[in-house]
Amino acid sequence: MNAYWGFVAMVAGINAIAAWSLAIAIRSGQLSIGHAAFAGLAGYTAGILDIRGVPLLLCFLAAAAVSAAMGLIFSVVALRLQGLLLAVASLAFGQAVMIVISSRPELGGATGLTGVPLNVTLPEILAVLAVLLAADWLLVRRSAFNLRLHLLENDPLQVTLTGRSWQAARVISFTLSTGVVGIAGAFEVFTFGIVQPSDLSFDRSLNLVVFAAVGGVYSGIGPMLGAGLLTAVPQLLSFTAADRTILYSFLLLLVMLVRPYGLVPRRPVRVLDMLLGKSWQREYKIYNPSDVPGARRTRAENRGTPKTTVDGGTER
Amino acid sequence: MAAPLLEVHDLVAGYGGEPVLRDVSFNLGPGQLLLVIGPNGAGKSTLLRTLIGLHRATSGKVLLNGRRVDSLSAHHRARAGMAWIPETRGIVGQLTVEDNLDLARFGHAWKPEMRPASLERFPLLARALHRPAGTLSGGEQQMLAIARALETGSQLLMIDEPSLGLAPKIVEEVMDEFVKLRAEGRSILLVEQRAAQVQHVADAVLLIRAGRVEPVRDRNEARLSELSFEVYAGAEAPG
Amino acid sequence: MGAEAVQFALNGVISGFIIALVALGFAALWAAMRIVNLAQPSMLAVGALVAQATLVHGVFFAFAAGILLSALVGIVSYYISVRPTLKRDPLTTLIATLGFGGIVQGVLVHIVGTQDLPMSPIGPVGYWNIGGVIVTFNALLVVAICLLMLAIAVAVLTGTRLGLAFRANAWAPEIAQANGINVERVRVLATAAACAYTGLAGIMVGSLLGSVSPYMGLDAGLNGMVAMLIGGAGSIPGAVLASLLLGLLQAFTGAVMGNALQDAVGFALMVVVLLVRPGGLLRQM
Repeated sequence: MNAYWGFVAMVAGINAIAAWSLAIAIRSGQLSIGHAAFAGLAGYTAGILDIRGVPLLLCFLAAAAVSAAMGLIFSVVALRLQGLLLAVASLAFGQAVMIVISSRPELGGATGLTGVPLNVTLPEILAVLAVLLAADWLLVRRSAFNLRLHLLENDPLQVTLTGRSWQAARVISFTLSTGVVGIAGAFEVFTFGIVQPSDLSFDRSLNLVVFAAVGGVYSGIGPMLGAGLLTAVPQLLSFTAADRTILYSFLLLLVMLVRPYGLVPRRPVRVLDMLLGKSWQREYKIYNPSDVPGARRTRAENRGTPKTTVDGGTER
Repeated sequence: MAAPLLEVHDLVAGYGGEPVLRDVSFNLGPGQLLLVIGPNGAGKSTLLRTLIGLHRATSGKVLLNGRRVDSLSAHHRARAGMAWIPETRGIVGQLTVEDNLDLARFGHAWKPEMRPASLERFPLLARALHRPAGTLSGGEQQMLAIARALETGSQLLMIDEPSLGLAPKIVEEVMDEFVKLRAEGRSILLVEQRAAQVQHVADAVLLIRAGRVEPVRDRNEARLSELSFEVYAGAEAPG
Repeated sequence: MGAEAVQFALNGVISGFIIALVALGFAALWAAMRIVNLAQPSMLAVGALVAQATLVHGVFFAFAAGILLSALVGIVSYYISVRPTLKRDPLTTLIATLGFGGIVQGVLVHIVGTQDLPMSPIGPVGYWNIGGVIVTFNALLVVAICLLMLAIAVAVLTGTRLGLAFRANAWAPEIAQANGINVERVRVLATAAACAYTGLAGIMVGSLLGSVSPYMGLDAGLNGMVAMLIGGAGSIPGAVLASLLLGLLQAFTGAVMGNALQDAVGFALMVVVLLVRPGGLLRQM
C-alpha cells in the first residue's frame, strides 16, 4: 500500500514539475498544448543515454538540453503567431513529434523504449520541486523576468523598455519552460522504466494544461498544487481513463468560467510577507499582475496602469 | 416646442472605475444640429459611443422619441433610429461600396427605393459601386458613410469629427450636406474640432470639458474661436 | 506509374476536400469572433457516430441527424464555454472550449467505448476503373457533397443578407453592430454552421474509411486547424486552398514515406508557410 502511494506521489511530483514549467510558458502568453511532447522527447533522450551507460546526472542534463532546444526552435518559428494560433500550432507540433517518434523502429516504435532502470526515488523529485519553488519565490517574483512575463502577456511591445526585445523574451521564456519540462520527462522515464509515444499524446498535454490552469499559473505553488490534487484524486476514486478525461475537462471548464486565474490566487502567501516583514506593494506598483487589463475588478489599485505612448505623453 | 428627439439625463460613463463622462444632460429636438466641442480626451467620442450603445454607461438615462434606450444593445438602438458615424468614417474598407450601402438594410426603415435616391444624391458612389470602400478618398468615404446613414432612415445622426483629414473645401461640402439633412428634418449630434468653421450650421453648442457639459450661450464666431483656442490650448476647467 | 500518381492525387484531393470542410469551420469561427473553438474537432466524432448509429433509418436521416446534432452540441459549446469567456481574454476561451471538447469526447467514449465501430459507406457500391485509376462511387459522392457544401457556403456569404452580416462582423464588429446587425446571433449561427460542417466531414470520413471512433476528432481536426493557419486565419478561400494542398501533400508523402509521416508533413508545411508568409497563403479575411 505504501509503495503504491509512494509511486502515486512520484507521479504527482513529476506532474507538478511539468505543470510549473507550463505555467511559465502560459504566463509569457504562449499557451502550449503540446508540452507532453517536449517531456517525452527528453524522456527518450534520458532513457537511451542511460541504457548506454551515461551517468545519471548527464542523462538529465542532456534530456533537458534536447527539450530546451526543441522548445527554442518551436518558439522561434511561432514568433509569428500569437495566442490562440500559437496554441493550435503547438498542438500540431506535439502530434507531429509523437507521430515521428512512433514511426521510428529504433526507438521502439509504438511500444516505445523499454528496459530503462528505475533510477530515481521520491526525494529527488521533491528536491527538484523545492528548488523550483525557491527559484520562483526568490528570483522569479522580484525580477525583471517576472516583469517581462507579465508584459509579454499583456503588452509585448513594452518589453523593449526593459532592455530586451520581446522576441528574445518570448523565446527565452519558452526555452526555459521546455527545459524544465524535459527534467520532468527524464524523471518520468526513470520512474516507469519505459517511455512510449502515447506519453507524448495530446491527452497528456491536455492533462498538463488542466493542472496548470486549475491550480493557477500566476504562482509557483499553484500549478504544483493543481498537479498534486488532480493526480491524487482520480487515484483515490479509481477512475477509468475516460472518466478522468471527463473530470479533468469539466474542472477545466468550471475553473475558466468561475475563476479563470486558477485556484491559487495571484498574490499568495501574504503570511510569509508578514513573517518576512517585507512589503511587496511597492515592487508590484508597476507590474502588479492583478492590473491585468480586462480583469473585472474595480479595486482602487486596478484603475489601469498608465501606459506611456511613443511621444512621452500618457493616455488612458 | 416639439418633443425632443433625444434626451440625455445625467449620463455617467467611464473606463475601469474612472468616470470619463459625468452627469451629462442635454436635449436634441427634431431638425436640430447640436455641435459638441471640447479638448481631446474630454469625452466627446465616449459620449457618442455610449449613446449608440457600444460602451456601457454607468448610470443615467437616454431616451429616443420618449422611449428609453439605455438598456438596449447597440444593434437595437441602431434599429430604433440612431445612426453613428465614428471618426474613422465607420465604413468597412474591405467590403465594396455597394456592400457598405447594403449594411443599411439592417437598419431602421430601409426601403429598396432608397438606393437609387442615394446614388442620385451622391453620384460619386454610383461610379465606385464595386470598388472596395477602402480605396475611396477621405471625402468620398465620408459621403459613403452619410449615404448609408441616410438609407437607414434614422432620424438621429451622431457624427464624430467628420472633418478629420479632409481638405477645407471638402469639409465645406460635407457641412453643406449636414445643412441639407437638417432641412429634411433629421437631427444631428456633431462632434467637431473645427468649431469656428462649422458653428454657423449649429442650433446649439455643447462644450465638454473633463467629462462635464457646459452649454455655450454666446455663439458668435469670434467668441467661439477664442473658446476653441482656449480649450485646445489646455486652459483649466472652470472651478 | 502514371496511374498510380493520379490515384494518389485523387485520394489527396478527396481528403483535401474533407479537410476543407473542417478548415472552413475554423476559419468561420475565427472570422466571426477571433477565437478557436477546440470543441469543434469533437464534432467530427459526434457527426460520424450519430450517423453510424442512425444509418438503419436511411442515409438522409443519418445525414440529417449527424449534422443536426453536431450543430446543437456546437451551440451548447458556444453558450457554455465561449460566450461567458469572450469578454475575458481569448486564451481563457480557448481553454474553456478545450474543457468542453474534452467532456464531449469523454462522454462519447463512455457511450461508445474506445474501439472503432464499423460504418457502411453512404454511397452506392461500385467503382469505375479509368485507365488503372480506381474511382469508387462512394468517393464520388463524398466529393460531390463537399463541393456542394462549399458552394453553399460561398453563396450564403456573398449573396445573402446573413452573409453580409457575417462579413461585416468579421471585418468590423462595432460598425456592424452600429448598423443594426445582431452580432450575437451571427456568432451563434457561425458556430452552428462550423460545427455542422465539421460533423458532416466526420460522416464523410467514416464513410470513406468504413469505421468511426470517438477519437476521430483529433486527426482530421488537427489537419483542419493546420490548413486554416496555412491558408491564413479567417480566410475561407485560403482554408479551402490550403486544405487541398495539404491533402495532396499528405497523399504523396504517404505514398513515398509511408502512412505514419503524413500528419507530420502537415505541420512541416505549416512551419514553412509561416516562416515565408506569416499571414498565411492568402490575405487574412
